Amino acid sequence: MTDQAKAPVESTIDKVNKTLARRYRAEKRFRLYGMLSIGFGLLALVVLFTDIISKGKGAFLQSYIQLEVTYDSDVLGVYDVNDEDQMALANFEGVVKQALRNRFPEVSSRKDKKELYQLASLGAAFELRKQLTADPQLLGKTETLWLLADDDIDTYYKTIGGEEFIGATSDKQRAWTKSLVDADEIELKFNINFFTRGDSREPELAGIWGAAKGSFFTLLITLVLSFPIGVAAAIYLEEFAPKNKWTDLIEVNINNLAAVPSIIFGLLGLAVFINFFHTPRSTPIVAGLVLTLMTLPTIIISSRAAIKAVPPSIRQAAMGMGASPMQVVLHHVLPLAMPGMLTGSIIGMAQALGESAPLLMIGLVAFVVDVPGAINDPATVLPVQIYLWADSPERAFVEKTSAAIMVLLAFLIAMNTLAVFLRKRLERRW
Amino acid sequence: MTSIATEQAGEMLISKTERTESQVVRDIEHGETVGEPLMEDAKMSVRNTDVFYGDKQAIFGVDLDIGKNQVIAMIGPSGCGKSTFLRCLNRMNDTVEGCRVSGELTLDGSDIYSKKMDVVALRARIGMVFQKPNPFPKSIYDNVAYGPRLHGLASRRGELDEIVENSLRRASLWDEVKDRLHSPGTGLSGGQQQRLCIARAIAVSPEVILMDEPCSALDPIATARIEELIAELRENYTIAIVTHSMQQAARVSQRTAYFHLGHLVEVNDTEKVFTSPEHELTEAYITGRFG
Amino acid sequence: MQTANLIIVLLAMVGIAYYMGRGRSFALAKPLGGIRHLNSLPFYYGAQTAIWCCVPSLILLALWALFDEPIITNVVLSGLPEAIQPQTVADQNLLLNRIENIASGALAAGADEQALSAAADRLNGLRETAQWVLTAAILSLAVLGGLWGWRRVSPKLKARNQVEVVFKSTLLACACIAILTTLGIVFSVVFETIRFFSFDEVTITGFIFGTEWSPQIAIRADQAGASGSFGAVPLFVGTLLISFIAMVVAVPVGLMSAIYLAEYANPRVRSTAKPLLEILAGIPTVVYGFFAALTVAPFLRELGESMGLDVSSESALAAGGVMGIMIIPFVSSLADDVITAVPQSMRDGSLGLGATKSETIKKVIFPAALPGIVGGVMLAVSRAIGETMIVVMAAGLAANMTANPLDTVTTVTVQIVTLLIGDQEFDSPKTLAAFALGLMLFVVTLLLNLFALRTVKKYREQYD
Repeated sequence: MTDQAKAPVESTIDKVNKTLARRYRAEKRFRLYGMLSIGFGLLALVVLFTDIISKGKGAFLQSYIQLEVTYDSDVLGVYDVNDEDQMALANFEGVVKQALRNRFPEVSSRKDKKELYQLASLGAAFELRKQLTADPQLLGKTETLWLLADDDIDTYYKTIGGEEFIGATSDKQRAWTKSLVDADEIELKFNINFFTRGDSREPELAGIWGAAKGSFFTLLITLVLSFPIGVAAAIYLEEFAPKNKWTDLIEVNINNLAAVPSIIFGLLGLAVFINFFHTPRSTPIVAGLVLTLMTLPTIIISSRAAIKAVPPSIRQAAMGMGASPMQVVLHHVLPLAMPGMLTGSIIGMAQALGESAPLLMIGLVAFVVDVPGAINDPATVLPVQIYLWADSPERAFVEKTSAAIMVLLAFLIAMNTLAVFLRKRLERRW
Repeated sequence: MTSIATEQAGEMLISKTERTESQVVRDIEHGETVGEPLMEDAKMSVRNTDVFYGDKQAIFGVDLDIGKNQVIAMIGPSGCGKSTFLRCLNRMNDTVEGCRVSGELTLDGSDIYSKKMDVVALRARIGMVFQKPNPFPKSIYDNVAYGPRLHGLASRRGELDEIVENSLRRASLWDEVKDRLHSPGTGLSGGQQQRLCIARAIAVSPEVILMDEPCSALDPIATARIEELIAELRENYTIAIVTHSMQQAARVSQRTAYFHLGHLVEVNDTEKVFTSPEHELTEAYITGRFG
Repeated sequence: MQTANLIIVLLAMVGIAYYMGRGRSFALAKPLGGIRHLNSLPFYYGAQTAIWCCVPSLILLALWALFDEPIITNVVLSGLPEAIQPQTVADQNLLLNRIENIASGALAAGADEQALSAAADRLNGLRETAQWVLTAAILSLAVLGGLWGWRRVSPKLKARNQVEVVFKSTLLACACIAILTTLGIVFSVVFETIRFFSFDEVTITGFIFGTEWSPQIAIRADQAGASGSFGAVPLFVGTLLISFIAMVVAVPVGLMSAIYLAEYANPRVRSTAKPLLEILAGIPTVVYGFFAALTVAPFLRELGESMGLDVSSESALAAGGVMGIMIIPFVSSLADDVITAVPQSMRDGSLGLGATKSETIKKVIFPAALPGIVGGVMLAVSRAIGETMIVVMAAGLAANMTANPLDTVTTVTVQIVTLLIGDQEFDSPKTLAAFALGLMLFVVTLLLNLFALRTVKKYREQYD
C-alpha cells in the first residue's frame, strides 16, 4: 500500500511544478488588471479635475479696458442728475462709444465703428451710470476709467501667446486689442461680477450669485422638510413598526425609491405639484419639494442604520427603569443616533445640491436675471445654471461654466468633508 | 538532548505538589519540552520556531518532528497556539496580516520558509482540512476536482473522474453521493461536508494532511466516521491533527503533543501521554483540572 | 395676514398653550402633594394642550390651501358675463391667466375688456377676504382647541398615553410618505399616459413597436396628416446602446478595482484609493455631461479623424464612456460589499489546496459572490438607463436605429427632457408622450431594482 501511494505522490509534485510558471504568470496578469482598473479610475478623476480647472480658472479674472470717459451732458441727454426721467433715458452707451472713438480716432467708416463699439461690454454703461448716480459732480467732467471689455475681446486677450483662439472677433478688433495690449490699456482684474450677479446673456456680466442663492433656498426647504420627516420615518420603522405586510411594503418602497431615476421625480413634480397643487413654477419652493421626495429615501436609510447601531442594551436599560417607548426613543436612541443621522443628511443634501435632471422639468431652466430674494421668487440652481451655460453658444461661457462647476464642487467637497468630520468626531463605536 | 529533558522533568515531578500554577508557567517559559519531541526518519521537522502576530508572540521556540505515516495529535487548552502552529506547517499564516514565523521548518529536509520554496507547490504537498466544513458553493464533483484541475493533475476527463471517485471512496463518501455528484456540496450534512473537504484535500495526493479540529462542528456519529477515516488514511498519509478532545486524540493518534500558552510542553507516544504524563501541566490538563 | 405670518403666530400660540397646560398640571398637583400624584409628567399635559391647539388649526389650514384657489376662480368665472364665458378648458386657462395678470397689475386691461378688469377686481377682493377669513378661523380654532386641551388637564387624564398615540401616528404618517411618493409617481405617469394613448394618432403597439420617432411635427396639429409619429423603438435602442457602452466600461473596471482593493491592496492603499474612487460618485452628473460634451466628444472626434473614422460629435461612445466612468465607483462599492461578505473559510479552503490568490478569486470567490455581483450590476444598469444629464448634454436628439457607437443616438431620458423643457401643452400628444416614456422608464427600472434588491438581499442572508 505504501509503495503504491508513493508512485503518484512523486508524479503529483512533478505535475504541479510543471504548471507553476504558467500559473504565476496568470497571477501577475490578474494583479495587473486590478491595478490598471484602479489606475484608470484615478486617471479619470485627475483628467476630469484638471480639465475643469484648466478650462475654468480664467473665469475668475476679467478683461478691463482703460478709456478716457467724458460725462458729456449733450451725449448723455442729462442736464440735471437729480431728474429721474433724464437719468432713466440717459445714453451712457453713447459716452462709452465716444470714449472708444477718441481712443481710436483713425476709425472712420460706419461698419468699422460698429465693430469698434463691440470692444466694450454693455456692463461698461451700467458702471458709468452707477458712478454718475453716486457722484453727480462728475457730470461734464472727464475721467480715466477701467471699463469692462466684451466677452470675445476677453477671450481673445486671455489666449494671446497661449492656445489657439476660436471666437467671433474680426481682424480689426484683434488689431485694436493688440494696440491696447501694447499701450498697457487692457488688464485682467478680479471678476467680481461672477460672484455678485445673476444670469445674463452677456458672458462677461453673467454671475452665479443668483443660482447660488437659488440653491441655498432650495436646499433650505429640502433640509427643513426631509430631515424631520426622514428621521421620523426611520424611527417608526426601526422602533415601532410591527413586523407585517404593510411595514414590508414601506421598506421595499423606500429601497426602491432610492434607486428610481431622478428624472421620474421631475415628472412627479410636474404632474402633482405644478399641475395639481399649482405650486408656482421655477421657484425654489417647488424645487425643494421635489428634492425632498428624492432625498427622503437616502435620509431614511442612513438614519435607520444609525438607529440600528445603538445597542439594544441601552433600550433595555431604559425600559427596565420604566421608560415608555417614546421616552426611550427621545431620551436615549435619538441623541445617540443623531451624529449618524446628521452625516447621512449632509450626504443627502450634497446629492440634492448636485441634482439637476428633475429640476429641468419644473421650470428651473427659466432665464432668471434677478437674484432671488425669497423662496417663491423665480430662480435657478447651480447645477441647472451650469447646464444652461454649457448649452450657450458663446465661447466665453465655457470658462464661466467650468468656474461654476468649480464653485459647485467646492461646496460639495466642503459638505462631504463636514460629513466625514462629523462621523469621526461624534460617531460612537460600541 | 532527550535525556536532559527527561531529567529536568524528573526534578519537576518531585516538587510538583508544592508549586502554584504560575510558577509552573514561569518554568515552561525557560524549560525544554519533555518527552520525545524528536525522532528519526521524520517527514517534517520543526526547530526553534517562534510565531508573532504583530508584536505579540504566539509560539515560543518549538522543536518537534512529525513522523511518516503517523497521526500526531496536538492538544491543549484553547488559545494555546496549537492551531497557529498547525497553520505554520503549510504557510497558511502567510495570509494573515502581520504574522511572522522564524525558525527552521522542513519537509523531507527542504526548508518550508526558504525563498526557493514555492507556496503553491508546498500546499499541494501539504493539504489542510479546516475546523468548519468549508465546501465551495459548487457541485460535489467540482469541489473534489478543484485541486486536480488547478494543478493540472489530470490530462483527460476520464482521469479526472477517476481521481474524483478514488478520493470520494477514500473519504468513504462515494456511496452516499455517487448518484448526485452534480448537486451542490453545500447541500450535504455537516459530517458529509467535512468528509467532502477531506476528499477535496486528498484529491491532490498530498503527502501530509493537516486537520484543524475537523470534528468540532460535528455530531458524535459524524465524528466517529471521520475518526475511522483518519485511521484508514494513516496508511498513505502523514497526518497532523489539532483537537480539543482528549478522547479523540487518544483514539486516532500515535503521538500526542501538548501545547500550553504557546509552548510545546510535552510530546510522547499517545499511550504514554495519557497514561503517565511526565509534565505536571500535561497531567493537570488530561485529568481535567483545567482546559 | 400672510400665511407665513399666520404660521408664526400659530407657533407662538402653541408655545403658550404648552406652558399653560403644563402650568395647570402643576397647579392641580400642588394640593394633592406634588406632581407624583399626577397620571403623567407635566410635560405631557403641556404637550397635550399644545396638540389640541395646533392640530385642528393645521388641518383647517391644509384643507383651505387645497380648496381656496379652485373655489375663488370658480366664483370669478361664473361672475363673468355670458358672452365671454370660456367654452373649453384651454380657453378657460387662457382667460384665467389674463385675469390673473390684470389683477396683479402686470397687464393693463384693454379698453373693451371692462368685464375682465371687473373680474380682476373681484379676484383681488375675494382673495383679500379669504385671507382675512382664514386668519380669523385659524386663530379662533387655535384658541378654542387650546382652551379645550387646557380644560381637559386633570390628575386622572392619561396625557402621556394620548401624546404617545399622536407621536406614533405622526411617525407612521412620515413613514407612509414613501408609499405616497410611489403612488404619486404611478398616478401621475399612468394618468397622463392614458391621456396620451387616447389620441387617435397614437396606439400602444405603435408606441412600443414603432420604429419612427418624430414628435416635433405634432405641434402643427392643424396640418392634415402631419401628426407626429411616436414609435419609441429607436429610443430604446439608443438607451440600450449607451447603457451597454457604460457597462462595458464600468463593470470590468469597477469589479477589478473592488477585487484588487479587497484582496490584494494593503490597508494603506485601500484607505486612500477607495475614497478617491468614491469622489467620482459624488460628482454631479451635470459635470460629467459638460466633460463628455466639451472634452471627451471632441477628443474622440479628433481621434477618429486621425484614424480615418467618421465619429459624430455627439457620439454614443462619448456619452456612454463618461457614464461608465461615473458608474465605476457604484459597481466597485457594491462588488466590494459582496466580495468581503464571502467568508474567509472559502479563501482558506482554496489556498490550503495550493491555489494561487487569483485562482482562489476567479474560481471560488467570484462564483460565490456572483449573485450579489449580478444584483449590483443590475442596479448599475438601472442607473445607466435612468441617467439623464450626461445624455441630455452629450448625446443627440436624432432618433437613429443603430448599433454603431460612433453614431449619434438619442435616449428615453433625453426625449423626456426635450419634450418637457420649455412650452408644455398638456393637450397635445407631444407633451404627453414624455409621460408615456416616463412610465416605460419607471416600469423597467422598477423591475430591475426589485429583482436586484431581492438578489442582493438573498445573497446577504446566505452568509449572515
